[in-house]
This record gives sequence, structure tokens and C-alpha cells, in this order.
Amino acid sequence: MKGFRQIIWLIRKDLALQFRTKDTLILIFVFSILVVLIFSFAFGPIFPDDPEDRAKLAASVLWTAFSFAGIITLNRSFDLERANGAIQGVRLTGVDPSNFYLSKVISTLVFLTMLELIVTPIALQFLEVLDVLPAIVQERLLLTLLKLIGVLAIGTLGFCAVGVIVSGISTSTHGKESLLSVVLLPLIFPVIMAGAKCSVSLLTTGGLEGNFWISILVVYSLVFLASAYLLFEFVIEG
Amino acid sequence: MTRVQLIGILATLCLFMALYFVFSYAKVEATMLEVQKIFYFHVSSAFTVFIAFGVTCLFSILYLIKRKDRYDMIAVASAELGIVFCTIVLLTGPIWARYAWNTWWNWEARLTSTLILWLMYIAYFILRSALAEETKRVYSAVLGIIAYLNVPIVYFSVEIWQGNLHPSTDTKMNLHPTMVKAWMISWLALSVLYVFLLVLRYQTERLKSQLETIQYQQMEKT
Repeated sequence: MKGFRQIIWLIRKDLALQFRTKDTLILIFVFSILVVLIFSFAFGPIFPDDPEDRAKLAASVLWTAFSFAGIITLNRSFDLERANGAIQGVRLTGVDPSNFYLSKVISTLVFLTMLELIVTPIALQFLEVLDVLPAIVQERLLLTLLKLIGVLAIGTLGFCAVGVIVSGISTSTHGKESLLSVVLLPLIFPVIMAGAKCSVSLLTTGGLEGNFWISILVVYSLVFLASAYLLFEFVIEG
Repeated sequence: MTRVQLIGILATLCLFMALYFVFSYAKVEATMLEVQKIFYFHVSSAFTVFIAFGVTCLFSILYLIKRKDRYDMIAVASAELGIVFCTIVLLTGPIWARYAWNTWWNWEARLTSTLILWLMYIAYFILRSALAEETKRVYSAVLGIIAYLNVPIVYFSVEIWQGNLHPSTDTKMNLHPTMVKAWMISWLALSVLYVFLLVLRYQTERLKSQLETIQYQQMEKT
């Protein structure tokens, strides 16, 4: 029970920090839109006609945008912790390192899911996917969009499970924040692959029936949540 | 003669024996002819990669529990060798692909996952070189464990992402007996070579840390 309260307070602290200044939120919002825009310009004249190809394009753009936005968010959030030894301050209150890890995962997840909620419809419109969706998806557009956000959120959970522990490590190297992307991207390869496959399936059939990629997303998230939960203690001590 | 030299001589002998078995004992494959010979080193290196990264993971766990510097040294040495053997796999793979599938590179499942594996451990070293001295060992141990946990997931997901062009396990079992023997011996040779290089690399690491201690003591004096 005490652990649960700790987690809740830490999440509130993280979210309060993010929403008081809003600079990270604005930054990653603009950044994601720019990524989508660059892809729209790059593919603009030659958007594939086939709905499935268009869905593939949209899925890859979405996952690219959110992976990089996630990396920026993680870097920022751990910079705040490392600055002026804030992390030591939190530790002095007697918070369990594992609870700190979980709270960080959850707050980053909440933050990024909000971003996905805003950016996904805009991106789908920019890439002109909404117009070519098959009739079966058009009928249940809102439901499909919600499912898509759900898939993105599960993928983001896997992303955060590894991302939080890796950024805890990489931000200790002063002035070399770009390291996070080099270390994290190969590690989250299964997430991006599975997430993109699920997104394509949702945009073309409106469902995930018989799709095993979703189970890869879930298994990945669980495996890494459990192992990082145990290992985070060593990261925070340094 | 020291033990290291003995292992070195053993590795050399094994390698020559492997060359003999691969090139004159094993039967020439019917469709791919001599090019198939690369299989013996390609697959054996791939097996050695898993052993090497497995050793890294194991000694990373041991380091986190026992905090002895020598465990960290073994983990790093093994990761380095893993990258070397992984590079061999990535270089011999395209040569095989060129003759078997008529292309140097395609996003075939195991080629892709080996590339990701390679990138993961390159990142391990990039990160390690950027970390401060006091945190370096713990952090790279954590990363060594996480990266190895990821290996089966990467392999599994890439496998189902792409239809598999690689010969399935069944066909490997159907190899001609002489081929199996040659393959086993080349794997043995590469494993002994791995052990030899690991010991050498570990000794270098130890000397390096001794040198650092001496330098530090000298600085204290002056």
C-alpha cells in the first residue's frame, strides 16, 4: 500500500513538472508534426494508391514520429532528475528505486499517449489515409481510431519499459544525450515492428483478429517491465 | 609454457584441422559447389556469437551480485569477441546470399536480426566509452543483461515478420555425414579460438587496470 502511494505521488510530481512549464509537451508536439510533415512532403506526389500500402506508410510514419518524440521526452525527464541532484533528493525521501522506475514508466506513458491522441488524427489526415480507408473501417472510424491509439499505447509501454532504464544510464554521460537514440532504437526494434504491423492491420481491416503481433507487444512489455524493475536499483545508485 | 600459450597452440591446431575437414574431407555440395564451404564458418561463427553474448550476460549478472572487477572484464572481453564473430557472420552471410539467392543483401529474417544484434552490442560499447569511470561497470552490466534478454524476442519477431529463406533446421539434419563432421569440427575450432582470445583480452584488461592503479599512485606521490 505504501509503495502504491509512493508511485502515485511520484507520478503526480512528474506530470505536474511537465504540465506547469508545458515546454516538453509543445516541443514534442511540434516535433511529431514536423516528422509527419517531412514524410508528407517526401511522399506527397507519390502517395501509394493501394489502401494497404497507404496504411503501411501511415503506420511507419506514426511509429517513427512517436519513437523520436519518446526519446526527446525521456531525455528531458531524466535531465530534470539529474539537474541539481534532484534524483538524490527523491532517494533521500526513502522511495524504493523500483517504485521510482514504475512511476517514471507510467508518467512517460501517460504523457506520450496524450501526444498520440492529438497527433494521430492529424497525421492520418496529412497523409491522406482517412479518405482511402476501406468501407469496413470507414463505418467504424472512431472505434478504429481508438483501437489504434490503444495499440500505440501498448507499444509505448514497451518503449517506456526499456527507455526509462536506458535513459537513466545514458543521461549520466554529460552532454551526450544523443546516445539514448543509438542505444534505445536497436533494443526497441521488436516494439516498432510489432506496433507497425498491428497499426497496418487496424487501418486495413479495422481489427486485430488472428494477429499475433499484439502478443509480441504485450510479451515484450512484460518481460522488460519485470527485468528493468529488478535492475533499476543499480542504475539509480550510480 | 604458460596455459595461454597452450590454448593458443590448441586453437591453431583445431583451425588447421577444421580447414582440412572443410576443404578435403567434406563432400562438395551438389548445387552450390565450393561456395557452400562458407557455411561451416558462417554457422559456426553464429553459434559462437550466442555463446559470447551469453557469457557477457552471465558475467554481467555475476558482477552486479559480487561486484568483482574481473567479472566486468570478462563480460566486456566477451562482448567484444561477440561483435567480432557477429561481423564475420554479417560478412559471410551476403557472400552466401549472393550465390544462393542471387542478391548481396535482402531483409531476410536471420540476416536482419543479426544486424540488429550487432547494432545492440555496438551501442553497448559506444555507451560504455562515454560513461564515467565509477558508473561504467554497473551500467554496462545492466545493459549487457537487457541486450541479451532482447535477443530471443528480436529473433522470434523478425522470423515471423519475414518468410524464412534460411534452410530450416530439418535440412541441416539432412546434411551428408561428412559435412556434419566438418561442421562440428569447425565449430569446435572457433570455440577454442574464442576461449583463447577471451583469455588474452581478459589479461589485457587486467594489465590496463593495473597500469591505471600505478599511474594513480604515482600521481598521488607527486
